[in-house]
Amino acid sequence: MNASDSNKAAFMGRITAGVTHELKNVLAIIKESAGLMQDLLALSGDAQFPLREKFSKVLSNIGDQVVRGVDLASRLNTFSHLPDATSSGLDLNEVAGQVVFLSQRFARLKGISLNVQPHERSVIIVTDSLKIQMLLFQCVELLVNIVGTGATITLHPLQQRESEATVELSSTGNNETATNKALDLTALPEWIELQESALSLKARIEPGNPPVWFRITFGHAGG
Amino acid sequence: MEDLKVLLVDDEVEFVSTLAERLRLRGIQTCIANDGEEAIRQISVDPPQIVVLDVMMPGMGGLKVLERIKADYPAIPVILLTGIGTTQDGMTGMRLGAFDYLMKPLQIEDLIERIEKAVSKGSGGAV
Repeated sequence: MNASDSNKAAFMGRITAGVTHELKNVLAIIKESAGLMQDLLALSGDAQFPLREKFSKVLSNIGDQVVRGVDLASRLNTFSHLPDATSSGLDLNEVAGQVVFLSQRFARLKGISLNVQPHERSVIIVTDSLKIQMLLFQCVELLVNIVGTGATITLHPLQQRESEATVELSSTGNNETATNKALDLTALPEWIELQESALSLKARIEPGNPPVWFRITFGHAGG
Repeated sequence: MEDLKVLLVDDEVEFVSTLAERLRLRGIQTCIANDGEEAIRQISVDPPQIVVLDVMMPGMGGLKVLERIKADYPAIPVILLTGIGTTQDGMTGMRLGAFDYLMKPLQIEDLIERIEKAVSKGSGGAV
């Protein structure tokens, strides 16, 4: 990214961070209001409130949706802080989880599920947090357009060597449609080669055999 | 709990008034202030046993209010309320003397548990 792109990303991040903070305040008010209604319902007798059961169910639904909204707002807030995050140690398990969360809606529209199979330990790499999320997002998007409806795409971070980490992208469930389509890695943009001059970290993409569609290996240049 | 008096400080009027009503339904005397200056004034007139304080408020921010309370009324425990992106402020607040912090939206049971802990620790009580 050049300086202008960085400024734009920082601006969008800042605005999004502010809005997500406000959204959480809105959710807090909804939560407390629903909670107060539940309290009042609990205090009233059945005779006073014949629709108690129905109201309880609706209030419970509101509570569930608040939890969902808070999770969305929190994830979006984390994402909004990426442009101003300095290059630091990132856990690929967490990064994969964040990417899956952010890509979930796009996949769901095509009837595809996404999940993460985390490595048993943290898989730490030092790189630009925005770039790596963009890279994984693009890879997920590519696979979403290849696998068939009903498939599940899994991101699986691995630590193969101390100086090298990998994310495997595989799919299960409905690969029949997918195997008729070629995996066109040229669709991915050039910056998929992560070239952090100060960190010399590269991302190497290798096609695999389904169900593992491809592997992204992060390693230091020459390492 | 009936004798317990809590001051809730938050600029989100709907949030704080609803939360106050829920605490009152549970037998906790609850006052509210919608900004830092009002909170300081209320504490000076009628000190509560505990203050529940939002970190992010216009004007005098929550951490500034916390510093004032700890300087003038060190025995009053303070529980901070943080939002997303302000958990760091919660940790800063702990270093400044806050008893604990909770993230909004909160579970009322968690808040009451923290209030009880703070008061039972012996630091509660009007000064």
